[in-house]
Amino acid sequence: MNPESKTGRHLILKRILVPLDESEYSRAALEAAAQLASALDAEISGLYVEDTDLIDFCRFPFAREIGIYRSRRLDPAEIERDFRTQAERIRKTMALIAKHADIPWNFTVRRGRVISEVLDQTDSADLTVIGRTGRSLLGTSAGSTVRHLIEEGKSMTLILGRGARMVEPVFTVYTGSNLSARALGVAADLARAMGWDTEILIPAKDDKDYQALRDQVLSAAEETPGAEGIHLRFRRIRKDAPSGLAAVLQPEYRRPLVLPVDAMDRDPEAILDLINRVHNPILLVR
Amino acid sequence: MAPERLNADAVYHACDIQRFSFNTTADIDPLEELSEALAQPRAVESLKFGTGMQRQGFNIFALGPPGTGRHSMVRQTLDKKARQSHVPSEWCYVNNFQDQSRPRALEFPAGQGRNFADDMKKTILEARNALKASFESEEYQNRLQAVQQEFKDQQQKAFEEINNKAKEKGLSLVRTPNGIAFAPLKEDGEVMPPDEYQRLPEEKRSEIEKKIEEIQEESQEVFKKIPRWQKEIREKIQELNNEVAKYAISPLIDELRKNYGRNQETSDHLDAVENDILENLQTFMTGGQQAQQAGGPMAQMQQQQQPGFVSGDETDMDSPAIRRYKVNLLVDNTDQQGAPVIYEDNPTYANLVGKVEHMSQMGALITDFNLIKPGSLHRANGGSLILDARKVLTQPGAWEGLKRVLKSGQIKIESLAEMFSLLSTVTLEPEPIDLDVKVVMVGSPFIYYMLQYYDPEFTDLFKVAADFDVQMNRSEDSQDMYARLLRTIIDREGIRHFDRQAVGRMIEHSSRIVGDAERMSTRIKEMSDLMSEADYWAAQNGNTSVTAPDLEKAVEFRIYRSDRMRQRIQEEIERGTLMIDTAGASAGQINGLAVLGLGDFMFGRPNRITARIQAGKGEVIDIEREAKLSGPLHSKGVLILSGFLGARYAPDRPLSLKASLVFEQSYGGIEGDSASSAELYALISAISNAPLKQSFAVTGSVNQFGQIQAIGGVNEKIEGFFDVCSRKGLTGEQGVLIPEANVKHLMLRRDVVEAVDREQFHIYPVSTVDQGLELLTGLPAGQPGEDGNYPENTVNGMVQKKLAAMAENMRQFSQGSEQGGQSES
Repeated sequence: MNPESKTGRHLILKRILVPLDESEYSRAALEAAAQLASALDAEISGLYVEDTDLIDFCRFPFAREIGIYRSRRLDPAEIERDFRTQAERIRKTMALIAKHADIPWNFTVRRGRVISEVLDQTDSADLTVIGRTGRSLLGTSAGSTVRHLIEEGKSMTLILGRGARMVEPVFTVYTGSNLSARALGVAADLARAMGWDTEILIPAKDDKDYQALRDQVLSAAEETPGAEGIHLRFRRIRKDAPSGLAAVLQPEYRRPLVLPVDAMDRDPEAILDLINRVHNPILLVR
Repeated sequence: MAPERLNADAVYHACDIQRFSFNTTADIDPLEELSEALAQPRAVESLKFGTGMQRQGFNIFALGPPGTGRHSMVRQTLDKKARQSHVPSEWCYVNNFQDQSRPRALEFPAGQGRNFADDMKKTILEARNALKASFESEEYQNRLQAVQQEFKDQQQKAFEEINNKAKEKGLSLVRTPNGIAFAPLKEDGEVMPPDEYQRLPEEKRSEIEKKIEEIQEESQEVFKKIPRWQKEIREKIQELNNEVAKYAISPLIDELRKNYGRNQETSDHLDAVENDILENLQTFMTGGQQAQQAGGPMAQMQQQQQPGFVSGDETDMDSPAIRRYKVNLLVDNTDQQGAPVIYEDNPTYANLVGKVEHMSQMGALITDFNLIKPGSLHRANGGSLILDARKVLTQPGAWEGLKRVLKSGQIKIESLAEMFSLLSTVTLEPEPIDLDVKVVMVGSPFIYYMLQYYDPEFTDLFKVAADFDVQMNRSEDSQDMYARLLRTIIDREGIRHFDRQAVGRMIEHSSRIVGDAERMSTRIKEMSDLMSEADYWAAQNGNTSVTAPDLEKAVEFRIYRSDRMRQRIQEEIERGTLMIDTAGASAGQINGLAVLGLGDFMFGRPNRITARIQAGKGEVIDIEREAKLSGPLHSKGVLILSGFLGARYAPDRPLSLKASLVFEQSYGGIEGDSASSAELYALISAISNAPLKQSFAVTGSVNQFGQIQAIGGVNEKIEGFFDVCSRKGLTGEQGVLIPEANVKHLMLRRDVVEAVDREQFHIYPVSTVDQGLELLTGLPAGQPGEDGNYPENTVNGMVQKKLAAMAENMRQFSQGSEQGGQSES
């Protein structure tokens, strides 16, 4: 499949990192990670970060939490307790989901600044799965952790939108670049593992351009061992990413997209724009 | 004039087998209906009337002794009626969604109840699949997302406003575990560290704190709105869920409505099912398993906004959430032909009216409408129910329960245990079911009359009595029919056929059973048993069909098995322990005859009766009564004697006699008046001093005019005295005096008949006391002259003379006493 590397798998997952809080997106990330781990024989690692910024914040004389049910003076000891309680609840949820998917799992609680702790852990994981937004009250736009992961992350990152189970086909974007060829390999591996079809989105200015890229994919598929069983579909899309991609993805929010970042010119803002426009799970291939 | 002795033909009315056209019962047809042969027109007509009468309370009580074919005839009559009737409705119990403790009853035409139950089951399973598909559809998910987004947008807008205001005030919004907080910003836009804040001048800090306080208050106001928004969003999601679910399940329920909704109750139930599914979507789809909740309050809130359905076992119709929609088909008449005829062999309260069972769940006893079990009244509804009266009356609560049901015309299931407060657990009050049943209770006359006497409700509920007789007339036609009855029994029992002689002998024995030569027994059970025994002896004798000797053997062996006591009595008489004379003559002494019953075996035995007299005031003392050994009928018989004596011999002067009568060597009780004629003969003999022949035994009751009246057990009594005479030696003088009215009852044993034929033993039919006296004394009884006096040398004359002498003695004795008394005073 990969025009450059014609043998071997592109999606070899041993450890999937899932940074967790108590948001619905976080739970969706956990379920998606479990779905992948189950199909790809991987282990999921939950990560909960006790935010030291918040503990620092308690030192303000006016530090006060306004909540739905009550308003309270923020007390470091109380925050510590909240951290422990939340971590335990998240651990139980994770245990339940992992048991249901019958996969190995572990759960780590770290202390520090959320962004740096998550980034630190992504280096040792094959894939990081994260909800698009955390416990933000300011809407469903990508949260700050996701933003940092897009900007600074080095490994593959799967960003989850709405919490629904992923369904086929797997989308990917093929531009003819090496990275898009690798993304195609990842998408094919994912499709094979899940028993899904693959739909290749080709941004092309005209039919000739589209056919050429399509032929590249087909000839690569012929030469790739094990690719016979994969059913490939093609679709031509507009070249004005991310709008062109969003137009295709929006109606089919449960289908995952394997996105080579160069399809977005490696522009974090463009990637964030796409993430904010659609609800599809987006797997960033760098 | 003394009566003539009876010849052999008169003491045994043999069956004329020459008129039978068959050789064995194999040549004749069995009966189609028992009532043809049993000739019970009263009972049969009553049954027909009772089954045809459709008004309330016209239930039937079939009364008669056991073994008279009551059950068979009741069954046949009811079956015949049932075949002409239509198959009744079926009843189901379904959940009452308004009040689960009161399940609803639904009525369906025959065959439709089962279909409804099956279709409902399929519909429920299909509804779960349809709902699952609907809630997984993209359309639903998009609409749900849109609704949720609305809430999020609302929330986002509010917090963006706060965020903007905070920024305007130089503050930053910080997310905390359960809400938000505010912190001051540095000039570069980063959150100011606490240490840096502390280094700010006092005035600046106060300013920041004031701003923070203001924004906190504003935030508080926004947070207060969130629960209302959440409520609104929940309602919208519920509305969406209902709309989608209704769209999914309505076509399925409509299909049921189309097929079964003509009945208003069923239509209402289907509406209730649809509404209940819509109201309990989560439970319905998960089969009662709760979706696992995880996360904090915010996460839970978010989960509540989604259906979050976990699919349960789709085939598990017994899960609590699905059971409520099932249909408990109480009575299934799909394969029923005509109306049902049910015989309840064990009529306990629960078996009659049904019950509500319980099952154990987590250590507690629970129940629901699926555990309602029908009783025989449910199964018989629209038809007939046959019950044994004795069994109903001996089962706790059964009779009262049956009456309550028949009175109300409805079957209401109530637990006995609950009624008596023996059970303290959740139970149900199922909706009563309309009852249209004909109850036929089969019982003995004793039970019938007891119920009639003691239970005022009985006559209101069982207005038709079908009275079964134990006997039927014996005529030539009925004997032919009886032969066919025997054939029916032979077929039923699977025994050998009877030859012509055996059939004749069976008819004769049947007459003997009822003690009447002009009637035959209708006790089918007893006959059937005897025929089976005869079959056994036929087998022992190597006969292919049952012959008369086989039957004789069966009868004899049956008696032999039971007659140990009779044998002992006969032996003791022979040995002189029990004093009975069968020869000679004695005054004031006579052989009376009694019948002893041991279970179903009866036999006669002679008893010596003696009378002694002395002067007195007209008393006849019954020593048995004085010793409290006699029953009221016996006492009555003795009292009649005084009336007879006084009226015949001393109409115009006091009866100056004191007589005592006793059954010698009688140590048990005596009942009945059949010995009253014997007592009278003994008394007259004692008065007249005319000896009575001891070669005779006497039976018969007497009235105040000296007429001899019929008694029971005449055959057994004659045979009892015959056996004693046989043992002591037949002299040709011995015999028995019986009431003339009893001649038609004579069906004597073969050896007795032979002795009569050889004139070794005599049976005299007697209609008056005078006839008896002449036979017993050998003297003329005597007729009164115009002056009312009897001639001398007649028995009556001797009695009259003796009584006159005693009266005179008494008069003189009384005068002497009075004079003596006066002189002394």
